[in-house]
Amino acid sequence: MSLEINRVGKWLGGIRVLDDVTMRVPDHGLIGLIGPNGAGKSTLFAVISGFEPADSGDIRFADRVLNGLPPQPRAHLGLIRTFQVPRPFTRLSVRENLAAAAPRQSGETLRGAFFGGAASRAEQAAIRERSEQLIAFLNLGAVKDSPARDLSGGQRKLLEFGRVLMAEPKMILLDEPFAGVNPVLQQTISDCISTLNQRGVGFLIVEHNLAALSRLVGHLYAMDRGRILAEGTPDQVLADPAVREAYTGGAL
Amino acid sequence: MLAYLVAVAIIFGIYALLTLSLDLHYGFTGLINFGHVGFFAIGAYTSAIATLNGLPYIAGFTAAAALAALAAWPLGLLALRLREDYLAIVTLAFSEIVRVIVTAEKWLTRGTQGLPDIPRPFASLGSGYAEIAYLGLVAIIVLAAVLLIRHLIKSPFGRLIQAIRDDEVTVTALGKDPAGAKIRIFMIGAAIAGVAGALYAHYITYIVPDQFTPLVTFYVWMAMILGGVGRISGALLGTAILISIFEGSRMLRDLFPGILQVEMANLRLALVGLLLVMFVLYRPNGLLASRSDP
Amino acid sequence: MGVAYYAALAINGVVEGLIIGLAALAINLVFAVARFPNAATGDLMTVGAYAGIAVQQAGSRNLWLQGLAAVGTGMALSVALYIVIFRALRGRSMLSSLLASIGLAILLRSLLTLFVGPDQYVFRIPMARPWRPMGIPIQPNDLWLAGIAFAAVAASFIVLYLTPIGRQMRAVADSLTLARTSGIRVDRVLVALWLMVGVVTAVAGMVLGIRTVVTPELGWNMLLPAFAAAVLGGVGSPVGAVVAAIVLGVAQELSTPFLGFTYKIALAFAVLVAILAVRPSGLFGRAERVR
Repeated sequence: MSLEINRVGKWLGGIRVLDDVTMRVPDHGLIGLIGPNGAGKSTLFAVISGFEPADSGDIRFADRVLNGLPPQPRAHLGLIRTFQVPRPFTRLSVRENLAAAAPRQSGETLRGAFFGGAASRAEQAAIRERSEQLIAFLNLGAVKDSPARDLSGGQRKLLEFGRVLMAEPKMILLDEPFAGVNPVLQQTISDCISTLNQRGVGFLIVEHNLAALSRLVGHLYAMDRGRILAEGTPDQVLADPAVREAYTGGAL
Repeated sequence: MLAYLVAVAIIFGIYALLTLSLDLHYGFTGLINFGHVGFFAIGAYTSAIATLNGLPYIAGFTAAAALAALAAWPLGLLALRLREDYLAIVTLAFSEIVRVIVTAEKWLTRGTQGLPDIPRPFASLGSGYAEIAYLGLVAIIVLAAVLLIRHLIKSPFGRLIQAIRDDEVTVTALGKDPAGAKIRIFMIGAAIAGVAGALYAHYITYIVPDQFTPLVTFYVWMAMILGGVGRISGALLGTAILISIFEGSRMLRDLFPGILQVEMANLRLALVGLLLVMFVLYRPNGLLASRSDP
Repeated sequence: MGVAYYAALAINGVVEGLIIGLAALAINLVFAVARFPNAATGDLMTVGAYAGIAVQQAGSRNLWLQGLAAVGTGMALSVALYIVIFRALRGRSMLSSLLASIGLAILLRSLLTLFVGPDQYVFRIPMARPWRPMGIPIQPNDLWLAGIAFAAVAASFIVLYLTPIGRQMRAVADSLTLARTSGIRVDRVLVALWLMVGVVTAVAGMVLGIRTVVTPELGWNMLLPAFAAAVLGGVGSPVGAVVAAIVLGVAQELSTPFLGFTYKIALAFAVLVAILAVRPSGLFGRAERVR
């Protein structure tokens, strides 16, 4: 299940927000994407996940062309994104948040809600079990029945992570997983990512925290003003003069 | 005294159905519906016209629910694409369009003259018993609605619509489709409001278009907010408060016979307006909850 | 029917449209800057009209004095509503402000009825014979009123586009955070905004009241057509709102021979629903995602 982005371009009000972007996340890949604010990283995520259309180029996942598809079929293929600022279902509990993310629930249709019977109940039991495992994995046991709006920033990040996992992803577009997170939690999240990657989940990670990202990924792309500036190992990319210039004043 | 209590209980039941269904729309799914009285009107007129033309009550009630749900379908489609403030205005426009159509199509509805002598179920039981039997009917329907909504909310479908309310974008990112769920909820809520309309028409036995103004929608919004949004018990509590205001103002008039009925109506309206403002400002989560989420 | 008949209808439509346009402008201002549909707009108009009537009942037939009273009352009430209610709701959802405005609308209307009674009042203006250029009946009073309405619209645009406070209003409408960081004192801008709303609604109320009769329902009846115009014109565009209102006014009048009196009222609503079905962002509005 590789993700291929071929010469993707996008205009927004006269500006080229994405310019001939080409990238590849191989199967089981763990790839990073860096760039200063306004480089186009969020736009790229929006285009890959189907929330915005590309004006040129194409995107393939698992050998399927994604162009023109809305977000849902892309998610069904296993390509799922997170958001920079966590977006929990605020009034639902942590457990319900996780359960709501599980795919293919027959109880989520009207007919299934009333006539689903034993089959639906079995599905929900399986989902409950998976949620409990995830809650343990992410150390959210203490708050599992609290409404998500009562969670701290770090807990919300973990919940966001957990929700994506419930959706049975093959590849995750991770948007700034370390933003606003203390170093201990950063390590936890980093370990989670590594573990999942070893189990076969691919990752494309946008991050500003270059140090943490470099420790995690083997291959990195750098963007600025809609274009790819460089790609390679973290050391190569961070040493690239064009990249350093784009980050003038930034922390390297 | 008993007759009075029965009458109040019947009105309570009818408004409870309205509040419950509006809560289904807004409290549980986040749909901002300011045209709820439109479904109420469609239900009332449908059942009235059906039964006045000889059809049995069950046909009237079923048609009321069905037509209201049908009217909700295109509105639901619009709701998918409109930002929430436009949706508020459009739903308000919808209920006014309903009122205008009902006023204009005199051949069907007798326009502003209204429909008198609407048949009432159990009328043959005689005064007193007929009303109690009607209350029984209302109570059964309210109970059924509560059980239906409760089951729905606790199901995975119910979890989905609440997720849609809380963050629709994420629901889409997770591969689910908010559109179908929203339309279905819109139609179910509309059907319940339609049944409420039928119950109203057969109880009052004389309906005119002016009984179906946006003010009714605003009363129901007030009830929903006062009782606490997104909770079945809240919807019932809020309805109880609303009915208390109606009856309380009536009782005040009996205490002070110098006050004209028109003045009392305006005093009651002023109170409703004031409560709406106060609660939005200080108790947006209802009477029982403290200020937390806006 | 002859051209004169339709021309008369059209002229009537323009005058009505201008009044709707004033209300739509008031709605659009609050919509764009404070970001919610203000359901109390109609009742602010009604209060303005009654203020004028109050001056008349107190003995003065001077329309300008009555108008002054209306505008003064409108400004005072409008700013008071902001300070007491809408300011506290600033950080909260659109729905909170909308609901509060609905509550206020109901409160204003019922209090007004309690104090002045439900009977209608009439502005006593000198009767004039209609002119008949080319056989088209034109009421000189209508011309006056249209002129005043137009002047109010023009004055609003001058404030919005040619004064510093107007620029600041538009900045806040564009982006609250950006406006704040550029040093704009948002509270001051909002006070100015509500003052403007007070003036515009008062003028609209007076003009409508002079043209028809003053009842407690005066402004409320205008609310939905004004909303329709504001939405059709698009939230970001005050010009759009007024243009849409005039178009709606003319369309409404011209449709009377075909649709009949009752349905013509629904025309605005039907057009609104139809346009939004095709273009969910309104005719001139910016596209915005659902929630």
